[in-house]
Amino acid sequence: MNIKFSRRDILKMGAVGATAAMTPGLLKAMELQEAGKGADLRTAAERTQVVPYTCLQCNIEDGGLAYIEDGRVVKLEGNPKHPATRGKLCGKGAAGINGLYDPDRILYPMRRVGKRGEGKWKRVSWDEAYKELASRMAEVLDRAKEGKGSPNEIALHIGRNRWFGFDNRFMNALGSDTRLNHTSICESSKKIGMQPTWGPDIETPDFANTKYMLIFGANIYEASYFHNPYVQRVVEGRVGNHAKLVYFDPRMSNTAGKADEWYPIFPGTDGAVALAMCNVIMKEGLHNKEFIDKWTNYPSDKLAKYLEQFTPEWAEKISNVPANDIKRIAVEFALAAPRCTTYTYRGPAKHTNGSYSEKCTMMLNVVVGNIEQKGGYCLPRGFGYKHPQPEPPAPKEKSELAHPHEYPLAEHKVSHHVAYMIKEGRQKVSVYMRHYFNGNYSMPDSNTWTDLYMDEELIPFHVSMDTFMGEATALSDLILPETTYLERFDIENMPSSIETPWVGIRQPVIKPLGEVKSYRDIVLELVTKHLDSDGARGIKKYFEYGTTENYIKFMAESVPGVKEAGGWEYLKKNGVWSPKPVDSEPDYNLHKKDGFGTHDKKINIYVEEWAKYGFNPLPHYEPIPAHENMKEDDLVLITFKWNIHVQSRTANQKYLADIIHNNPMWINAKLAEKKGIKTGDLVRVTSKIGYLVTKAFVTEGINPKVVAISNSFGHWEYGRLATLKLKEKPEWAESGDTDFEQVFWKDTGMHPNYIIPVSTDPIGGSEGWYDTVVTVEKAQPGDKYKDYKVDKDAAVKAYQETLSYSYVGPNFRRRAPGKGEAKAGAKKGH
Amino acid sequence: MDESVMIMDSSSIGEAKARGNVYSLLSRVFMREVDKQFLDILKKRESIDAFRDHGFTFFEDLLSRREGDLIDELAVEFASLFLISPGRLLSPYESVQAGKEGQLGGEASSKTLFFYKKAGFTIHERISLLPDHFAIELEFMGHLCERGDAANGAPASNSRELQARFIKLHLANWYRPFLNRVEAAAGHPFYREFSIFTKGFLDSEIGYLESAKGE
Repeated sequence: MNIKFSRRDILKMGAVGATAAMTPGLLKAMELQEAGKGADLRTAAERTQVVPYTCLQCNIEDGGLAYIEDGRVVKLEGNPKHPATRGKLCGKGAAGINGLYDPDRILYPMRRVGKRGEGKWKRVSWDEAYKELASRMAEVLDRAKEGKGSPNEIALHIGRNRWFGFDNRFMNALGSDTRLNHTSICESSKKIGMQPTWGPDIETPDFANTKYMLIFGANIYEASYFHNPYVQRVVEGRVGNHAKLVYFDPRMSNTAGKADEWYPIFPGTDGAVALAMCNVIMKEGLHNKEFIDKWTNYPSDKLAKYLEQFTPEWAEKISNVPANDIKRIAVEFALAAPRCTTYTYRGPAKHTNGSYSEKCTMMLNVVVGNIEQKGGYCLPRGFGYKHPQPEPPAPKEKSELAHPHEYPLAEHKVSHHVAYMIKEGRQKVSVYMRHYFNGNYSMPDSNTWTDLYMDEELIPFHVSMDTFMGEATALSDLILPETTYLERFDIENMPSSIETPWVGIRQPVIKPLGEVKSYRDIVLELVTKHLDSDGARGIKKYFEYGTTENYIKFMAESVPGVKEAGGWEYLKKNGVWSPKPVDSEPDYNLHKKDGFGTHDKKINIYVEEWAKYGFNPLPHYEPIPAHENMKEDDLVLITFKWNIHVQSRTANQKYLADIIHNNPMWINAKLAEKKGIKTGDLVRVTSKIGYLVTKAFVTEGINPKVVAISNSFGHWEYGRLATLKLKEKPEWAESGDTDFEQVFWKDTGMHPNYIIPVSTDPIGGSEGWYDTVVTVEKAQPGDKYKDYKVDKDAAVKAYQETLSYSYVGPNFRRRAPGKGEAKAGAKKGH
Repeated sequence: MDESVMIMDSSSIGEAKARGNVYSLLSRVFMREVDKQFLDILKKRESIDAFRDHGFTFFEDLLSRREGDLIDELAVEFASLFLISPGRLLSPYESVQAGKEGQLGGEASSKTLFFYKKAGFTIHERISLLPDHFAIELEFMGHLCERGDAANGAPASNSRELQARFIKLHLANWYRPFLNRVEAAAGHPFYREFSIFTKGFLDSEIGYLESAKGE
């Protein structure tokens, strides 16, 4: 609708405005300066600053430089001073600017005013937000003090956690042990496969100096851990040493495409192939007897005897990798020793046998003795930090949600079980704080999490510290808007470079937008100004370190050598410090100094703690229960990550969405032909908990018994590009929004997690993302793209079934007679 | 001659002030939620008369509803339009609506700030909005109008030239599509009618400043 104004109208309306304009205290944004004084008339180039930072689009932590013009970020580039990433950012990193300046960001504290999930919000001040949260927390703490509750009713659920102990400080100070995480949907079984074996939870292959790379389920050219720094060194090894790359992955990723040999292995059988290779190596006498006998807790002759059962023919039947290839690759690998290495990421780990599989692949390195050798499989290089004192003690009472009694070895928790456990009434939650974690999108059986978040009895108060209106934040009660990684102080280090460890920082490259605050500042202000302003609760004393910058500075300068190099100012100027410069020669044989990080300083081929709970203490292949009785038409559904997206947070980033914005289901061409499925056809994918309807992508590049749907898409919240809801309302789209007009696609993909049931590794606690058995058929009459249906009872049954394979469960005892709870004699609960 | 493009007469000094006041009023509407103080201004008799003359109805709600409820309802509406509008492009920033970036903090944000500074204005530190926010662009126009008032001692023609340039370089790029979208999305007549009002006012301003060239 349009109206026309006369000047008379304006005079009349001016009177209203005059009242407004003259009212004291009425909000004004501007003030007059002495004319021209504030004008900065230098050229744009002269007004440019370059501020170093550490990326956090994903978890690789690349070094970056932000180019700032007139207080706004105009470009992100790699920081050449960074010893791991050496001046390179990946596509995601370059698009970090989209996350910072996305118009869908939440910039102010918001309070829900309608029903939960209804989408009605009201801005509140930070003071109001803090007061509400503090009073909710105080109610719990006061009740706990009277013996009528527990501090554990206050839960903090963090996804991407780069806080280096700050969340422990916060929760320990409250006395709550209910710190929940996302590691069980990430790579936890890899960690648990490694830690009891040699100490650290990750390896650092010396790719640049190796001659043979045996990679299991780590898409290193695109997405796996340390993608950017490692792929640089993989390329150096490939070009400089003509290193061979053999890759195992059911799907033809770009790593498969670049490899000398690619094996589309059947999901969850990496451990079997690795064990057969170990057997071949020892049988052929190509093992390093001296290393095994000196540096492990299991004699080489006993190991050889034990491994005899794992023949290449046995492994071929399980994995579909030809026995002759297993034999040949094993011999090639061993002959390249010590300049050979394996690398793994989520491929072997995200199964119910994930911890076992990780340990098996690791054994290839142990038997050839390439550990800590040039071109071999090395320990991670990193630093520890000191923290401002005092630090709060650990809470007195253990949280069942954080440490479910069925999984005593799952040190990195089993947080994907939390929704079911709360529903079971295992632990009361009164205040649920969520940060960097989009639960009802990211978890398996995601609908169960939506139900939980919608339930105001089970989750009476849901606080979201978030940058976007994601699926979980849309179901919260109070939103505390958080900074992006470009607007805050953080400290970082990652074992992503074998040449040298490093310490990096984040710093606000610009003034934070709106009223956003960093997580550390939110906690600091909440505690010191509201929850315990007078210190009477005994919490404030742990937060009297001044500012967040002081806190980070203290940690950074606690690393030996940082102060001498110029301390905090050096880090702010350069973004990173390392004891050795870029492209230094690595040091090797670190184990010869202090041994390995285990109780006896040796590599534990025999893991005593596993035996204690009835698990096989030796390298072992455990069939995946769901795969044992597959019918002819059954397939395994796997997920994967694109090179330019992370699981939940990038679908709304325009540079990235422009390149990849949907996720059709990959299906093998022969199978598709048999089923009459063509690319673009609608298919119905059915698991034991429900079905979804998506589109097919027919390709030769996938194991014929496997289908694959990528993560990252199918959002129903998160913003314009993630959902394209605007496309459904053409009257808005056609009003001159040139940016949105360039969105040439209409399909934002289908979320696979609806139908992926919970399926948990009884040792490491990982979700078996790649265990889901499905059937795939052409869509039925009436099926529409993105239809889905989940049977809630079946989802709960899947949870109960996976529990039955935990060490206290009947199925565990059935598979391992005489093992499990009875033998372990372990106490139930904590 | 259309009244909206009539040449300023001897009352032009008062008119500049009046125009500035309208900019201030509209800036306040889009800057943040309606509070008690602003509601009191809107409920004054002269306000009601002025709005009624243009066929607006939102003031009826202002007069009949309990203040607290109304303020809450308008706050929810404000949040849904301008603070949390994922999936709907209502972000009140020139960079988003008209910039080649389609994002916050685009070139328009630098360019508006540069314009303000050259004209001798700065944005308060406490303001959390970026320089190309719709309310700030409106407020700036208001300041320029006030400067055009002879009482401020500056030559009115200089100021009007600046006003014309600012509208042409910035507001004119985006106010119509933006306000059309707000009008379409608004649930309460308050924001719907103020969008219509603002469009009409800025249309008239463009005509007025064009006609006042060379004076």
